[in-house]
Amino acid sequence: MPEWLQLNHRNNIALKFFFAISALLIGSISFVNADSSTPDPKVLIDEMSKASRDLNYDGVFIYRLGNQMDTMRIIHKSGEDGIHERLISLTGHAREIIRNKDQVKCFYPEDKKVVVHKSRLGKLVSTYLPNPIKSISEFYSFELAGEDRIAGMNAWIVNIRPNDKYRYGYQLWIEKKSHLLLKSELKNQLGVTLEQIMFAQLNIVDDIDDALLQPSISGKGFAWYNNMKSVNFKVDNDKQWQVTSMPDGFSMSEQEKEAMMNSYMPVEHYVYTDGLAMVSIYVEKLDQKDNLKAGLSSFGGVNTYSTQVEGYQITAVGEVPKATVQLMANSVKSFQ
Amino acid sequence: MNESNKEQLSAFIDGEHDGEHMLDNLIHDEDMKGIWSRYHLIGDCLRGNLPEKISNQISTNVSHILRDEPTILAPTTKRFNIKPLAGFAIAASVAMVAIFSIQSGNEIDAASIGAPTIAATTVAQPETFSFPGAQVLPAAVKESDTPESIANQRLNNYLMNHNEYRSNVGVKGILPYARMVTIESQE
Repeated sequence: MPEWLQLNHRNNIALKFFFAISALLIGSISFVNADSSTPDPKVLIDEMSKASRDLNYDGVFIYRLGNQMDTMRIIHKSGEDGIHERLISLTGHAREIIRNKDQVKCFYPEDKKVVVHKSRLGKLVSTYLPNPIKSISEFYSFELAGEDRIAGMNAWIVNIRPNDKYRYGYQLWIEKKSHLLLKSELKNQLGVTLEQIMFAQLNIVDDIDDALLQPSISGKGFAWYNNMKSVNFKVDNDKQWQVTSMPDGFSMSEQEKEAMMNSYMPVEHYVYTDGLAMVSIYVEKLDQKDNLKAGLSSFGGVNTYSTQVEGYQITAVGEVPKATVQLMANSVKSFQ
Repeated sequence: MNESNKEQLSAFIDGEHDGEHMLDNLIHDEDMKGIWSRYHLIGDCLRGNLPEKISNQISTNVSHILRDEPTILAPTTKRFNIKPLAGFAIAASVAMVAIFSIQSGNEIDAASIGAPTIAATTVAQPETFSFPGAQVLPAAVKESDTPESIANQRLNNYLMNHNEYRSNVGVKGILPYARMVTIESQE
């Protein structure tokens, strides 16, 4: 091969090398650009919480639990006097839930029954926001997992993976513009979906007509059960209860005495959270006739574990693995 | 329990009595507890607020007391005007069978191995009776609910309560909310 050709060849290699490097550089630059336009998953989740609370919307979603599938319509209004919500079951019995900052009314037309609960709206917003995400980073990993299309809208997919076996994970589909939650899956440690919701249609509107927030059921002639009454009296010499063993990151956020149907005595309720998962501990004095339903049960992603201590039934309830409710319920001790 | 105690209880239910000692009594006195729940039941009955079906858990107590004191339907106190019910005294009759067993085996859950597992609950509706009319108290009451169904109802109450707490926390917005609608429809 002639000398000049070899030279040329060498130049050619150098040239190719140069281009390769350039391409890599350009690639990495464009990658950096793409990255900066890609939202931080934690920020997205924060935005989602705000959007779900602050926007006005009216949508239909599918709720799947095990083999069961239901359709519901949700109407959400964020007014000056707080949040108003109406949830209507579109499958099975025509149940409705009307919720505002004071109370939750559950209409059960099949039983001609209305149950009124105290609302947690507002209360928890101030308790858990504005920085719910920062505190949970230690126990969960967040990642942007891709894009998808739900209810005709484009969404980011965000994965929340637990860093230990004591928590569940989530996969969330968050609408790109409004940041409303379009789909949500609760997953166990193996990634198996335990419970999911998905919007089939969702309209974000400027305002919601108040008429849309009225129940279609008048409740006339229904039996009304009011769980709103506050229970202030002390029970059993002020016996206090404490969870003595729980996964890292959990701490008690609330403590209350709850009046409950079927219970003579108010039930002690302790709320523990790691910022994302929440576990309720209920302590109720057992009647002699009562039969303790001991052990594990579950409802979708919610696990419960009951045990007995000194004539009291201790029950842990939460969207956490069985190991967690069991650990926490078994560690409850009384002190005076 | 004497008449003046009953009057005080009635006043207390009406919110016209500070109730300090009343509550102590209420907690420790079985008779008084019975009267308390009976007053509420009567109040509902008078207002036509009774459901068609009522759980026997409470009614059994009521029937025992009624046997001893059949005249209570015409109470002497003027203030016998009971407010809408206080939750924990009243039993609801619902087919609450939300709780079912978990033996999915999907989870790696070392801690649960060897733990007691509950067989699938197939309790449908608890034993109930019907009121011929809302204004009439039951003449007879069947034996009480099975302890099993009472335990289930209790667990359902916990679930409802937990979901209401949960429905506001951060990420989970709608899911617990959807549960509240479905929670009693599992049969």
